[in-house]
Amino acid sequence: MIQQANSENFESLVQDGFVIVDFYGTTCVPCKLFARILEDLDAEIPFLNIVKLNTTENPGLAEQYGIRAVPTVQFYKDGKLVHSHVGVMQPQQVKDVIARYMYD
Amino acid sequence: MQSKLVAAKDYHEVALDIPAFVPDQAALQKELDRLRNPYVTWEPGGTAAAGDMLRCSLHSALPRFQKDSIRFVAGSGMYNPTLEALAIGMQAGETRTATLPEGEVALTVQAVQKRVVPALTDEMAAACKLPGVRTVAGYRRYLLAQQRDKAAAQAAWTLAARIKRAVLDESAFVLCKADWKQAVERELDRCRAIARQSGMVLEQMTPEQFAGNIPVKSYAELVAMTQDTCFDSLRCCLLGQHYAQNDGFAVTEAGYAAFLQDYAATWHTTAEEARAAMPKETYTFNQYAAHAEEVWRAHADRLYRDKNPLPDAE
Repeated sequence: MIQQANSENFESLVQDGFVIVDFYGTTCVPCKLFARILEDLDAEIPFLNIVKLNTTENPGLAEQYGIRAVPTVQFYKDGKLVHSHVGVMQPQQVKDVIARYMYD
Repeated sequence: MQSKLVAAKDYHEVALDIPAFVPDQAALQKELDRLRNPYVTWEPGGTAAAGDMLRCSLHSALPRFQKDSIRFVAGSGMYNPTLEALAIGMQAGETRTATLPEGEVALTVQAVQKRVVPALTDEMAAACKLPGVRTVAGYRRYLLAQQRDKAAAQAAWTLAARIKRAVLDESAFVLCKADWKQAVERELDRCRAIARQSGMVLEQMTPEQFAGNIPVKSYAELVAMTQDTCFDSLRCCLLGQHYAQNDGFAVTEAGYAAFLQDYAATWHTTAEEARAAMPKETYTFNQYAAHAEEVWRAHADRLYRDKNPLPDAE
């Protein structure tokens, strides 16, 4: 499931379970490429929790979470940041992080 | 400027070997398959196959593989490759054992959810809401057009370089050394201003300072390179002025003002520094030279598209 986050719901969306967060920018071309990769993963693995945050529209939240470039991909397990990656991730790279943290 | 174009080689007459467009069928199919993503459903039961979603329990002496209930997609590479492969071909209630490098693990399938991917329909294509796309065939044509546009853009640069070479070599010019010298000095002045704005002195720049900025290692190399490129750009400028007489292209004050504004914003500098880096005379010279290159590129792009038409629209 892919959900759009904002400053009001972001914390609650990453609070439970394993969550992939895509920090993206409105005009960022690599972000659009990564968005498609996430859509494919969502269709392949329907129980993934994917949260997208537009840093152009939520600059304060982006700063609060230390986002310096987009796309930045963060992985949360029960509200705790377990992995962070700056730049586009290939599908298998995302799956490798899932394998490492989701089932612990 | 004293230099003159005496006779221009007609760029339409330059013989070119236009490459054929070869669609990337695999990429095309991948995009078409993507249309079905929102319509995938999951149905319970059956024998697990790659892509199906499984709920399993694991039993092992290894704590990491002692789980009452976990979910994964078989063959997706999201959990454990050996256990994912083991589960393929199993049904709910069945147990199999795998020997992992860490030790033995018994896997019992609790439930299988079959991935059901519907056939591609025109409704799925229409749901994309792309202008003019109402059917799968229309979407395929849209994707083909995107691929061809990209291929045309790449081919056009290569073809335009061949056109440029032929036109420069086969046109007749009267070239004054003073104009060439002035073009070189303007370009060096431009580099000098940019270096100054970065806190450097062009004539004293080191190979490390040139690296990543200009593809030379010394000022002497830069002068030699500029002399060579300006011999071409002087002739391109004359041809650009010639083309402009027929196609209406013009260098304007408004265009120059917009350029200065854009330059200052891009390089975080002032309009005065932008003007120092690119005086109006240099801007005008470069614009006409660039216009000739754009005429050749657009011609090459047209030739590529004419040779590689798309299938008829739906």
